[in-house]
Amino acid sequence: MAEEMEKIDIDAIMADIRRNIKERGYEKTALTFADVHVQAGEGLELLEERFQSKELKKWIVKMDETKNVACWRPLRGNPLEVFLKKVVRRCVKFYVEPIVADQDRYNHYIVCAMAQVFSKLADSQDAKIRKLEEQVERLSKALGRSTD
Amino acid sequence: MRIFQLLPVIAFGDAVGNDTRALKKALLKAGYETEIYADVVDGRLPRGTARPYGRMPRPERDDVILYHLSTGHSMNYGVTRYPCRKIIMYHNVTPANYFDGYNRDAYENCRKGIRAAKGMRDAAEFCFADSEYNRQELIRYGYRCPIQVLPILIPFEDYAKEPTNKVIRTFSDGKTNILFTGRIVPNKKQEDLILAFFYYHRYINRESRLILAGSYVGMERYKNRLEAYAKELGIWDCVYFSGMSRFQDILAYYRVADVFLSMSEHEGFCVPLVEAMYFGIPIIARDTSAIGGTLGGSGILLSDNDPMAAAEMIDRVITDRKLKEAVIRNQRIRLKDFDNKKVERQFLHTMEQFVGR
Repeated sequence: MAEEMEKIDIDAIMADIRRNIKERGYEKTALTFADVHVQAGEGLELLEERFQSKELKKWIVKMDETKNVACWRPLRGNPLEVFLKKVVRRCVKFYVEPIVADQDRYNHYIVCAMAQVFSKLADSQDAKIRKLEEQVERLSKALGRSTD
Repeated sequence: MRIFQLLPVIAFGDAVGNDTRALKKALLKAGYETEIYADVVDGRLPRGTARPYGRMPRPERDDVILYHLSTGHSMNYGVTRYPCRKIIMYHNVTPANYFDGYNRDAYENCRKGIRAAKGMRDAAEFCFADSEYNRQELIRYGYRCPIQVLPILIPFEDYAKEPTNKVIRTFSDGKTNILFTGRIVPNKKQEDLILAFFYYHRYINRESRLILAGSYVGMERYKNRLEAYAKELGIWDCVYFSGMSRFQDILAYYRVADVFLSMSEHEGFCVPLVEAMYFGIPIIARDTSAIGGTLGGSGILLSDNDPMAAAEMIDRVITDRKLKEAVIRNQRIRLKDFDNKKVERQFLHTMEQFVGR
């Protein structure tokens, strides 16, 4: 003969549980999982992000703002330290300045290329929207309805 | 007449892979000419388990393809083009939205998998579904062929292996171990487990820990968020992520567990529930998707994801000895329904009828 399962009175247990919840004075934590964000941009995790054109634009603007590398920075320290740093700076000038100029030029190209990528995406999106609008209009006409 | 079992990936130790291997064994024993073909064959599987899909001989009209459908893959469409008879073994495809923002490939695979599941409705002559939940899903997708519920075949003989002693020693320190096994994936809602554990730990039992035993490969972003959540809740040192574990380690986690807690939102069958039944661990699970069906009246079902109710239920099951014994006893009774011999008999009987033997 097949064994039968023992009946467990879940309703009674739940009633006890509800009473216990009141008695223990639980304080509901305000923190939800949706509030938790891990630092984005670490490793290749960003590849899992969904594309957002406003995000792309944000990063291009940031790139543009920081594309020029400053090779001259204010010198700090006592007068002797500042003097020595000035000497060192003058000594390496012939070497550092062309590298910085190359880097600036490269950064400028990258910003231009990224701007073109953004324009391409925006253009495609516009074209797609126009196409869909035309399609909606055609279908609405076929159904004898107004698109407004 | 030959029977070809096809699937995109046959992996070592996963539920679909184990099921496929067990079905092959049953078919061979019953005298059928059969083989498994997969696009990717896990190198850890014993030699001869499966052959590459590219080397599959072209099926004849009276051959049968038994296709395991669980994800998006080009094979989903390739299979429909063969002129032979087809059976779909539906293991469920997780809704893609769970993976949005966590893993683009997983998102796409699931999206395509669901599309394929719908698109294959006229290709199959017969379907097996792991659970009633999966059967209902196929009906919703428009399948009109007969669909039979056939539980996954679970290799119980492997559970008798020796567990890792080191894991047992580490976690047998007197603390209450709350266990969930399964991949770290958003549909399993490990964040709800963490929140339930937070209340249990803070208000009921400080001497406790939550063990999340499962791989997070491909889900690093979700896992990082879970860790950050546990940290913000102040319980990071009591929540243990095992990562990819050896099979013997998993056995050890079951040996040290006091309660198996699942807050999963989407499961096509949920093998860990059956594993917990096998190891005599009381199960508390949120009643979603196939969970209720797999528990079949055993375990304790929670109607929602209320973390405080879950915390209190953990305490109740641990402290109320009579209740705990009743839950375990019911689980043992339910476990008999997953007896391999019983499932094999059901499968072979259906196959005999299908091929007209």
